[in-house]
Amino acid sequence: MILHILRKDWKLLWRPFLAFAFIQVLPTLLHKGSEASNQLEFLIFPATVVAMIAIVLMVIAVVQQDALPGLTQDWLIRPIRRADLLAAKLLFVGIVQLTILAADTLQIFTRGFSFREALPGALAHNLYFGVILTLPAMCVAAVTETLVEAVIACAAVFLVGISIDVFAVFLHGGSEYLRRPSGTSGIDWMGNYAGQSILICTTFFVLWTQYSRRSTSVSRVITVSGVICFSLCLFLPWQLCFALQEKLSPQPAAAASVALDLTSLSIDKSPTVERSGAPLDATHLLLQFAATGMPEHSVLKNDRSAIRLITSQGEQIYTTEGGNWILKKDATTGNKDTIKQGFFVPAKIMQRLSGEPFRVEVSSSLTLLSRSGQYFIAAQNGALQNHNVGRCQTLSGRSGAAIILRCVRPGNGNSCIHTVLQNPLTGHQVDSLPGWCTPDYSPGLERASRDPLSSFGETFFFHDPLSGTTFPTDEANLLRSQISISTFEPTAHFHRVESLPVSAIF
Amino acid sequence: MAAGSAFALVGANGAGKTTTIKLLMNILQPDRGSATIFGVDSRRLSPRELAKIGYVSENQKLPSALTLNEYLAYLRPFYPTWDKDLERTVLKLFRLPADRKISQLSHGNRMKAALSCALCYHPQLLVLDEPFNGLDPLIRDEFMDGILRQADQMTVFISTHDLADIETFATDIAFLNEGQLLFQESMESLMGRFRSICITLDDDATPINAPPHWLNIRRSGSVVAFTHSRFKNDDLAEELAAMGVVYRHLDVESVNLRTVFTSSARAAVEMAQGDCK
Repeated sequence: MILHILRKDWKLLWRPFLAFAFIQVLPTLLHKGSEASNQLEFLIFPATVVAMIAIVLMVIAVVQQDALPGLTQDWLIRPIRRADLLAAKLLFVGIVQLTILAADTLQIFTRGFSFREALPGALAHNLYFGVILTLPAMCVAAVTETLVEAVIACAAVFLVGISIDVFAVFLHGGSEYLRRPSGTSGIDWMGNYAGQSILICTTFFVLWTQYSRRSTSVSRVITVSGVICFSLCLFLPWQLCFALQEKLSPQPAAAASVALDLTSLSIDKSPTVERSGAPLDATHLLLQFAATGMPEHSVLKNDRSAIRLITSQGEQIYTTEGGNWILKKDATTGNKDTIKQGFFVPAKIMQRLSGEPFRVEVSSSLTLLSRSGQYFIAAQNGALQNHNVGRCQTLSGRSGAAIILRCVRPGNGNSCIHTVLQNPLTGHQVDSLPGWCTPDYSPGLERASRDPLSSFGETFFFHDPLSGTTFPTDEANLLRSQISISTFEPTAHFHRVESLPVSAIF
Repeated sequence: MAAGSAFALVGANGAGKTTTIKLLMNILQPDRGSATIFGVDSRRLSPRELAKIGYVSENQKLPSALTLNEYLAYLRPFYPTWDKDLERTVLKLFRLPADRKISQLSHGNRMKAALSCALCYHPQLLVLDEPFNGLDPLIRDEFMDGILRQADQMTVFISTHDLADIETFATDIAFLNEGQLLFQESMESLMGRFRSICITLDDDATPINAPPHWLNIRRSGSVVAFTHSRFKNDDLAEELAAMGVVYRHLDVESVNLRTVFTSSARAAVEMAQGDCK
């Protein structure tokens, strides 16, 4: 009877389904169209959002063909096994997921990748949408009777999520999203995975409750609880998460030789300090570290720093977070590298510190990344394709003042990429430091991906007014120039605590 | 309910008729108590029992985007006893446009469509929840005709406040008032014990202390009219004599179901008000 029910649903939904399938392909069509005319490019993002909304609406429509709440549905008094009904719905939702997979595969395929290359990225994206869109949509559809009810419930769920999110932000210092316990670092996969596990469990319990007992009030309580628990995953404590991450280090011994030495603390008098979120009267202080013992061709990334100011009596008078930094070690750098890390201190604390000795303590959560590959691409009209960086090309900036590198690959991108425009013969180079580094420390072969394709790019300006460096733009030099692309993967996560006595601050 | 009977559940709006049926059909779960159908607890009705039950309700939502033909084709495999010849007969009897979408059918035709979907598999029990609401007399007749053709093969359970339609049809009747079952008996017994009585007293000043089974009492001078709910032919004179009522004239008339229903309903309301006071 499962296929019989599925056929009935198909008969009722084939027109909306065709519209849904077209919407899934629309971003790809727009992308192809934008290659010919840039005027279509601005439509790609709205089309992607519409495609996501279409997934939710399609899944809701499938489940609500035989709505579970309510007292007037005809199927309730028919000899239909509820397990068959659920299986038929899951099968249709499977078709929805397959359609998304096909659309994603097509999108990757049209960007020049083979089917074999496209499939893992499309599957990763499919898995992600399955967990964060399809399952919650099934859950909402199972506890509502009509599309209007479901849309209102989705809006309510969204509002609850946003409210908890905003609350989390205020709880962690107010204006900055950066202050989330696990956000903006490669470690936020823990919160995401925990949240997604909660979504899976919530959907499982709701579907089981609704299809076995049709207990809508219980199911609604489970749904709301699931949403709250999902949102609470933002509150996962950093220390706990990073301790677990340390245990998951692929090569913990690789970081054993790395040492940080806190050498000085000074007031940053630079006029270019970005003060977003900091009080107007706050002072920007600079910590200086010396890093030693980094292996060749590695990157040291500061995932998070907790800074504490402690008086000579041992009283902690201020605690804050330091700015993030990234340090690259290669043949051109020496054995000792210097790192500067800034943080803001309110005027009230500065007053208290003036003329009094104190101690600054920095607790850093660090990740050492090692080079996993190095590739070269000609600086002018170059092309490169491999499994690690995907498809890359170089083109001249419109004004002729820069060279642009664009890379795209199926699924998730590399954790960290460092690029250098260089002429190996003359030694001229433009370094992209700090480079592109949005790491994901999650374990697993193919990580669930927010997008079917990931991309990164870099613009190399021939003249940097800040540093005064200039890259020769004569044709002979540009012809011999190349861009070096180095990719890095995490090898060790570790923790260092440094302390510095300060007699006075200037 | 006895198998093969035509059982009518009557009561005013809000009495609990639909709730009772939804509990029986496992659409609603009871807070307490239980009900059984074919010996099975209503909370555990399985497809096996449901395949023997036909159900038609005034607010039943059929899949509106399907045609009646498509919906009948969808339902067929779920019922082992589905009779295609009967399906053709019923569609012909009801003159239903079976290739039109259900959403495009009038209310009357939708009700007939729902009945068609409930009759074609020879249900052992046909449950009808307020089936006549909003139907014009012609469609009511067609509807009843459809039921009556199979009435000898099944038990019919009908909830309604439309008494004229069930008067000639129901074999048993139950009266529900605010969730309480006031009585349940065979139609024959019920119609036998209710009479409209009109007494002309000798003296218009004679006080009458009416017993509780005298319902809907009206008095105008020496004339007292009421509905007797425990009427027995030989006992009325004795009852009046025992009460000391001396009369000049006594009229006894049969009542219709409507009178039984309204008298009982009013008495129930008065009793409830008396309890409140």
